Amino acid sequence: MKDDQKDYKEYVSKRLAALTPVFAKASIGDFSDSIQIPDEDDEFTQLYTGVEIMLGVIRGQLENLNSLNTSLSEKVEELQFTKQRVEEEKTLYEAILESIGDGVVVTDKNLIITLMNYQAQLMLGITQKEARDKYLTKVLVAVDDKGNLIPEAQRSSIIALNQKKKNSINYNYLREDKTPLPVSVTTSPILLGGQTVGSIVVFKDRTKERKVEEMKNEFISLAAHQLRSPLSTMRWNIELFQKENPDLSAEGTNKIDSVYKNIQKMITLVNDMLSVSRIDQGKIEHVIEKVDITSVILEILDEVKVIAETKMVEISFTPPGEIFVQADKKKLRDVLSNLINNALKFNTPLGKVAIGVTQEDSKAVFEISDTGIGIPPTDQDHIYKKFYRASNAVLGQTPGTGLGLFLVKNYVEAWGGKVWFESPANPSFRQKIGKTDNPGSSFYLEFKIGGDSK
Amino acid sequence: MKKILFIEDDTEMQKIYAEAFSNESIETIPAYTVDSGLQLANTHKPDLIILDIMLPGGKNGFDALEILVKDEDLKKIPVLILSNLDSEKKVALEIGAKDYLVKANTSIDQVVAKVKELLGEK
Repeated sequence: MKDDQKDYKEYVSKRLAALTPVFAKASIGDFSDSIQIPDEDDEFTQLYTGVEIMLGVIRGQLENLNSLNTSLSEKVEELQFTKQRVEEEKTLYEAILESIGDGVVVTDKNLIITLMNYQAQLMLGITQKEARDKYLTKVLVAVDDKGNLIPEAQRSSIIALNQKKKNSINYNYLREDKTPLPVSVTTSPILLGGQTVGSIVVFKDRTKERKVEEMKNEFISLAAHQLRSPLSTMRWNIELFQKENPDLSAEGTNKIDSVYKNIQKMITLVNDMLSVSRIDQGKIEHVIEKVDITSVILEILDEVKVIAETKMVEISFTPPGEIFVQADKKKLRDVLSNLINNALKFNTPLGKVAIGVTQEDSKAVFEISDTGIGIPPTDQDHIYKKFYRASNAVLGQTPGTGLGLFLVKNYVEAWGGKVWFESPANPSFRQKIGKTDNPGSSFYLEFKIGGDSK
Repeated sequence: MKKILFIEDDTEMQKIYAEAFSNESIETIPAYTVDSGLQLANTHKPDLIILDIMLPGGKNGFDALEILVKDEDLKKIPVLILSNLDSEKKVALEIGAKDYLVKANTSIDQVVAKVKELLGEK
């Protein structure tokens, strides 16, 4: 029995010996070796099979683990790469922002400054640290050329946020040392999915442009004044000649009249150029007083009677009695004469012009409608720009300097009034005069009523 | 016959003045600088002085005006400024000019009418 037991023990250890190297490897994490399943059909073989199945499972899970690990480290690598890219881009953007020659200020949706580039700091003498987290218009203080504070509502940033649209304005920023810096400011709202999340203010130093503008204006002013001398000599000589030669031939009269008309045109052009250059320099002076607009209209209508008759255009105006508006009398004449002459000039034979003035509370509105060629939609945004002439005005060879409406708008606004127009003309006017070939146009001027000079 | 002194450096302009006023039986005295103008004013005692602003010879129309309004003998003579500068009206009237016309924007008839008005006023 003892021998039997001993034999069994030996037998067991012999049968199990095959497992030893596999277990030895497994103990150090290597499950690659498979167990040779013996041919015998006994408990040991069952054990071997069981162990081999277990090893198989372990091997499978290890494999899964490994591939998971690989994809994980791939992901980590990818993430690190992206992070690096983001940082590179951030550095690039910062470098771009810093290298831009213009001042750039970024704000949140409440106009609180979140960023100010180096150039902006340099131009204004304010550090980013001082500017950050402060309200934009408290840091970027804007004044006009006379040093008056620009009202909030007229600030580029406020307009951009209110209108959700980019805009550009010229004024001066006050530097840290309170000296003005002429700038051209462009503000764009930063929109994210239709929501305004902030704004970006870009400003350019206009010192040089201003200098050039000044030189240009001085030149225009000098040239215009110098031109007036020969023009006045020519004008007066022709006037004397016409008076002393009443019996001139028809051809001679025509020639002299043509020369005279052209001298007058040049004088008008010189005057307009001087006015424009004065407006540009902010040098125009307005003597604002109470002016009876009705009498000014009647005076002008008397002057243009001949032109209207030659053009066969009928002007209707029912004087409403005295209406006193706040304006500079001489310039009001220029403004109204400009609009009345335009209504005639751009009209066609047998056309109509209707003028009206209405008073309402503290305002008076002047309206002039015509059956003229009208203003094409593509030109409508530009007609107040100086030297701008609508495409159909040029096409029809209607003479003009392109300065008239620029002056009209500038003057009327300087008196606290408003200017607007519509083309085709006012519907009620068109209804009254019936069908015409032309769209026509209506211009409106709004004035403040009466009061004294201020 | 009434006499007008024209202080104006442009000879063409002087010719026109002479012609325009000869029709009106008004004597015209031309002067081409402020200094000669003041001298002629003293000798001829004109009824009216017409003065340009931009003038050669160191003194301009404003200098002439300042001297004229301070001169005991000459300050009674009305001065009409005829210039092509249009921004100086206020200053000229403040110093003591009777009126101010921009040449290019005025017809010669209007100049004559204004002169007659000022002569009648005296």
